[in-house]
Amino acid sequence: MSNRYCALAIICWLALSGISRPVTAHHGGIGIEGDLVEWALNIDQWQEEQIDQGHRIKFLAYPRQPVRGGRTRLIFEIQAVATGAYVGGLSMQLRMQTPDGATRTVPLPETTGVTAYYETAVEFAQVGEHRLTAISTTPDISFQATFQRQVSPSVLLGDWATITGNLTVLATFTMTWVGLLVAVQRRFATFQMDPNP
Amino acid sequence: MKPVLDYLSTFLHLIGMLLLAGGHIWFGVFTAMAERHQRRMDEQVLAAHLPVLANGFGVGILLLFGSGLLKLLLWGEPGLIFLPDLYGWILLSKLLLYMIIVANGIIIERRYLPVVRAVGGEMTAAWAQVKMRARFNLALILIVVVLGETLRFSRL
Repeated sequence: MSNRYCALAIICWLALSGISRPVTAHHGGIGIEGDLVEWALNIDQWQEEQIDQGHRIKFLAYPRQPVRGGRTRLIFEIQAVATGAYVGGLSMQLRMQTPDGATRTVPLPETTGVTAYYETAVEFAQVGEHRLTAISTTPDISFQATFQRQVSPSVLLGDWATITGNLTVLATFTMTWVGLLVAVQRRFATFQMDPNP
Repeated sequence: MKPVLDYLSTFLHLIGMLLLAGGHIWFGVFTAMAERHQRRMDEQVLAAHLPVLANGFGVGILLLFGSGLLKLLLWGEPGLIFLPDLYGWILLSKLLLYMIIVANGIIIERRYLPVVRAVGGEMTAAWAQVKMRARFNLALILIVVVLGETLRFSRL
């Protein structure tokens, strides 16, 4: 009997400790708004950084995964490594190399009101890996950094990772649907066999 | 609209977890206690309520899948599950385990539940199978929960 009370006490403690968790608690892989998971996943943006000539070049892309024909914002944030100060007032360019090797250069103007943010918006016309090089053309301040982004043909099709992900979600949907049908069928069959429960 | 759907999907995912994981935990505890104390009556009561429990588990599964899918659609990542990042592999593992859980539930629902319901209070091999498979599902559900917690640290 005492074992039963002990087990019940442990279960109640577990339940109460679960209820008293803060609202930022994370359950089963779903990240709550503002959660560390969302930050870590870069859900709304892609970000990575490089250091060159004493400057940290932080690259951000919105949305995270560029899709052919879709508008993608490319932002480069420049920071001095030694002082940590954000570096505004630079003259910047973006050199884009498409998968077929063609290159074009576009200006990277500093975003009004946001110091050290150099931004442009592009539409990727080709599928595949694009090389994006941010270059400082400011006299006496020379640095550059190259980043690579894979452009997908659509939100449904793309590389193996995209196809695997979509097929996996489709398989789970199918399994859930079959389970729902079986469950409904069981209830219908029960009703047929036992009309007067 | 997006924040509302975001909140709703999280909330429903939690409710689904409560129904499925919580239900399996309580079912496992009660069947273990009944077995340990050799209380035939307790097991009969549990077996009699199995269809109701199955309804709850089914609702839990639907809530979990629906809210999870809604979240993935809201995030809008091509490929949906963030492959080939580490997060994607963990999410893929969760989904594969989810499919095993659902398949096991379908077997219980299709093969054993009608037998348990038909024979009433009799403790049969079907009832033993239900208990064994429910415990197996509980183990898988706990692994999925652990993987869910692992997601938090996968990219930190």
